[in-house]
Amino acid sequence: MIILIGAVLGLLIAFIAPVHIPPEYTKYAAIGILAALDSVFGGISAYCRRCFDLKVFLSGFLVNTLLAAGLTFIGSKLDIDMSLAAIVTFGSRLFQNLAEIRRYLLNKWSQNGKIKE
Amino acid sequence: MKKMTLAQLAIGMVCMIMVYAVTCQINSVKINDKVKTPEKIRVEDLQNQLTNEKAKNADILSQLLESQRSLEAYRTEATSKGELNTVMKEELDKARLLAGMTEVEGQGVVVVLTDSTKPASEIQKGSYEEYIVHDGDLRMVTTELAGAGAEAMSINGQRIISTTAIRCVGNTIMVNDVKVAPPFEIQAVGDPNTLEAALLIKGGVSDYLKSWNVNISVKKSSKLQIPRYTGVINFKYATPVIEEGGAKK
Repeated sequence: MIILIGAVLGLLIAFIAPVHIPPEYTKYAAIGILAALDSVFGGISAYCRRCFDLKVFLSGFLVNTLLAAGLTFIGSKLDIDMSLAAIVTFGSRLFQNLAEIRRYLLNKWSQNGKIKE
Repeated sequence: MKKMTLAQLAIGMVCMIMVYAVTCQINSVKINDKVKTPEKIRVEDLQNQLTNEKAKNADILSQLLESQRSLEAYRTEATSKGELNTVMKEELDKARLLAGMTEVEGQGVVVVLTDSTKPASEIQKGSYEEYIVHDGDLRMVTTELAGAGAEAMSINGQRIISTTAIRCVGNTIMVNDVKVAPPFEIQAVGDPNTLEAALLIKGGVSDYLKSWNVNISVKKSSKLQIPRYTGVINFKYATPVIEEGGAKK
């Protein structure tokens, strides 16, 4: 529920105070967003498994986001496409987390008798 | 329970930041796509220029043909007025024929050169360029044909004249400063048997090109039409030597 509120709030702020990202930085922003997305779903999945740690979550969010963008930047200087590494890592983790959330939700529903195992 | 609400709050906050970033990013990408980067502008500019130049070229060519037609008309009119003029026109016509400024027809041969069809897997890596038709191959064929008495030649419709250059520019071949591409069709007017023999002689051009798997076919033809040279030749540096007494050498 609070996730939805957060999402709507974020959307509202974006419309009220939009920040224009110059074309040369959109690549890094995209990677950062991917990392953030991974953090959010990781957090939700951890929350579902009841092993959520606030410190791990927040530090993961900040460090992963900055690291992903930073590594991509360094990679572009070295002519190595580091964004690929970030995409693969965060992408696979994203799917893993989504799968865990899905299982958690399925279990929850099946206990309510909606899905029979 | 207190910890859980804090967790929810944290996730909510991070989610908010993320959605904010995503929205900004989407908007930026949308705007950036509309903004013309220098490269995009350059490509568009060049395309426009090319189109304009092509249109201009076509215009100029039609103008040239038009003025040559009227010139021809003047000449015909002038010839009808005297004996001397008739002789002069004959001389002029001969000169134009020699210079390649008139369309000609006659018997001859058609030579077609195409790149090797050898599969890439059978070619040693790094030596691909040895299996395609080069400017040198075209020069070899045209020189051989000229040596065998070809009177008029063209490569893909480009008339070979005294100032013609067949050269490699980047990855294309230019004849008379016009790009030509495979298959290269070389038409030559002359004695068909001699021309064919000149190319097919043992150890000659045909054998050499075949050793590189370049496909070459030579066909005799009883009637060929070779277009005229459509460019403009202006001699800036060469002037005729005038001997004492005023006669041209």
